[in-house]
Amino acid sequence: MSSPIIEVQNLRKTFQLKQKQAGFFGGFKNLFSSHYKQAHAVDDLSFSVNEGELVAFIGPNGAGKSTTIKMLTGILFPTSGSVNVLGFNPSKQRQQLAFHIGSVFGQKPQLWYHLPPQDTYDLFARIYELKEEDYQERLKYLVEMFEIGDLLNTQVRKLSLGQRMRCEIVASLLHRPKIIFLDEPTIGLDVIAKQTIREVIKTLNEKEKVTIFLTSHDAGDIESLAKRTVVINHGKIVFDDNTEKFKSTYINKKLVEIISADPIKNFRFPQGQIIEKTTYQVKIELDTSKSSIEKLLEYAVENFQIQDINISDPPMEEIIATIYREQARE
Amino acid sequence: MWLSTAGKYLKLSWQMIKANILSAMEYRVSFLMQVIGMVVNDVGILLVWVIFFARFPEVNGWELRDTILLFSFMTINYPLVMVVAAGSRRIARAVLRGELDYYLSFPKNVLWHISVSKTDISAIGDLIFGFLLFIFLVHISLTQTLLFAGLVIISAWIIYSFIVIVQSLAFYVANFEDGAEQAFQSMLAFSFYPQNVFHGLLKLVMIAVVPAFFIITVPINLIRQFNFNSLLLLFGFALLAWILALTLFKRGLKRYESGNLINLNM
Amino acid sequence: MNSAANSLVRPRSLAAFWRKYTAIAQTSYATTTAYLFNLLASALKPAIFIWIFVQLYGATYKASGLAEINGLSLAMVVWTLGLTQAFHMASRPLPAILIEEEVKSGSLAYSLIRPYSYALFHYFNFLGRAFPTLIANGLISVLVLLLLVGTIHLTIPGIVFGLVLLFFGYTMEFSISLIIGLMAFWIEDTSALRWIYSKGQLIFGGMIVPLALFPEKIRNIAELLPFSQFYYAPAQLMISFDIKLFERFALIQFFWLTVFSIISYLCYKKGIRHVAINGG
Repeated sequence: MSSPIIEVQNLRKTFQLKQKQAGFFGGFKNLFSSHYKQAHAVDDLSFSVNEGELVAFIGPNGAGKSTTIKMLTGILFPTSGSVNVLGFNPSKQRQQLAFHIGSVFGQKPQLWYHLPPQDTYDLFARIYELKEEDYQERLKYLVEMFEIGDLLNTQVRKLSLGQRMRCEIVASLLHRPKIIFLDEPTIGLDVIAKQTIREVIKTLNEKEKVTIFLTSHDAGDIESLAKRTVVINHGKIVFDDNTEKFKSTYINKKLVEIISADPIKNFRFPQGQIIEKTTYQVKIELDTSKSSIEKLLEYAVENFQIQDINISDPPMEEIIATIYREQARE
Repeated sequence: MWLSTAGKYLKLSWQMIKANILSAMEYRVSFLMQVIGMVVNDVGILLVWVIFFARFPEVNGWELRDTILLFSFMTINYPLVMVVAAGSRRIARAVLRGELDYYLSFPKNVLWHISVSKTDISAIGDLIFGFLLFIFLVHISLTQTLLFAGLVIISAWIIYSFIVIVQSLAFYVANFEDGAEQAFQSMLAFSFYPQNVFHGLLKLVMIAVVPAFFIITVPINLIRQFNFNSLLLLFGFALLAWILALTLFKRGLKRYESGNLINLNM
Repeated sequence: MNSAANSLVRPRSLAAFWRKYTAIAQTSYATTTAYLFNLLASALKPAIFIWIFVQLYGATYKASGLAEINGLSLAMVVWTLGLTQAFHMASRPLPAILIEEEVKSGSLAYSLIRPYSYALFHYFNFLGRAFPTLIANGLISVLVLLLLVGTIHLTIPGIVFGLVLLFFGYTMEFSISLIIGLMAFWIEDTSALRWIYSKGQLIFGGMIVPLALFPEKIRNIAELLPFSQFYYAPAQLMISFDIKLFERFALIQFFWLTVFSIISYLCYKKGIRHVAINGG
């Protein structure tokens, strides 16, 4: 039975933004006076996360994602509301909480640039007050899992991006954190590197029951890793449920690919939009609110020699884009 | 035709510098602090010498008023370069990181473009200090003032050439970013001392390695006591430095474009 | 759930505390000595100043016609200034500029998420950097001084007591630089503050003109200000040791150190509250 290890209630964070005027004289005016506007980065947020969950926390830029994460880790003080992480109040007990959380900010490195990763690991062992035997055992385990044995004694600046990311993640796991915050962990990585990282994250979550809080703009990350997706926009939660439901809630479209034995000459199905057509194949985007797959298949079978049919959901990117756009209109 | 190109570049330069300054003004606190901070900074350095000359009123014929003249000169010539062409100090870094590609994609002279791409806001503070100092504390004749103005420009020109030369070495020598900056800083290191105390090997260094001699010593001495031969020498050196700078940069750029660089930091 | 009952709370341990911060110093030491060539090259900077001082004060003393001014010989002046520069340059880069960069780049987020005190992290980081740089600067500067000026009468107590003052001098400079750096939490660009501070050091820190050669009235003020107490006082003590001088300097240092420690602690607490981080 899982218990909540993150509990957020009515969380609010408001920033004062300076208003800038354009032009040369506007520039001068700016020097001597200023106008401020209030920005509600996080606006009455409430949610909880249970131990062992793998949650994707997504939203467009400026939605309030990083603000929320910073409040969860104690870096930022809330304007109002309550936050409870592992029984700590992050803003008040930052250092104590720090022993039990790990983080990887994709674009900001934590390994010392001119030294080999081993040196940073040794440093972290002492910072996190790890017992020597625990540390060595843990390091050996992680080195094997991430296959960084050859990289341990090479200067970080000489490593490739993929190699560096693996070493960075190891650094954040040395102290066996109970929660890990991953901010864009696969950014800039090639397909294989992405897969490796995702495998590891999944294993971490399943084997060690580490709770993972993932932020990413990569739909592949979300789809392959997170069972639960929370979408935030304009400082508010607009969706909080299973990733599966995520697709069906926002998109009522299906992609149907039909491959025929003879050349397709005339494919007319008004409720569907042809998005791709070659001699033997046609791909249709079907609006399931206007028509059904059954009707489309009926038409296809009636008029063509069907050799193969593929039915799939539209790509994750499109779903996410729809949400972002929808909220922007409001 | 040559004149109209020059005119076009001048107009463009003005626009670029204006844009640089405007965008810096968006951050008003930072802008004001940089300008005012630099004025205070320069007053501070001058105070050191006020104290020195309070104790030692004259050294080899050099007095406080000579240092004031020197300061006024130094806080106008070098900051002039930093307002108009501060981007020149980033050439080495751009070479190392392959950032020159950006400038090569424009139908404009690369050296000019990278030079005007940045304006040092604190240099504006220097200029304000230099002008105020000149107006209130430097007492020289009208002829000498005109000479001052001309020499400031020649000196600024030599400084710019020196920066380009040192930064262009990055086309030929691996990892030269730090070295370029160090060379530049050491030129500045000599700038604020009574210029006539330097002799022997150090003076040689100031002439041949870090041309502080031509940037500061000769111009100041020309104002204190005019000498036509020295003026000719100065002008000749400025021309030489300029030709060397352009050659080094042009050749280096060709190397860069042909992909022959040994030091690309990928 | 209150923290007293929280089983995840770590007990405080002095041993762990010590190991944590010495590890930080060791790591910054390793990073500083990773490129020996760069270290030695930067040690040349004080050497250039020594060369300039030899010529400047050589001319000055010659013009005055005296062998000693205010009890200082030419050799003593150049040694004092040379050592002051060597000590001073070993403290660069100061934490103020590093903190400002962390705020601007947003990597502050990492520092705040770790179980250590941000201020103490920077202190031990600073010490780990300054130590090898001091050794390099010291060696090369002494070499150049011997070459250009000749020997001077140094005493063991002078060196020992001087080093004590020097350690507290570095700690003082650190605490002031920390305060300036913390200002970045509010205003992001601390360059003006840094310049003004470095000018205070330039004027009153005995870096170009030794305090002993100041006109009397200015000298009395300058000696009470903190600036001369970081590097000039230790250098002066090493060159001409006098136990009474040590006691006087130690007292002035102690006063300023207390003042700046308190201010930096307050700034630190306030700063953490106000921090808003870039990026993301």
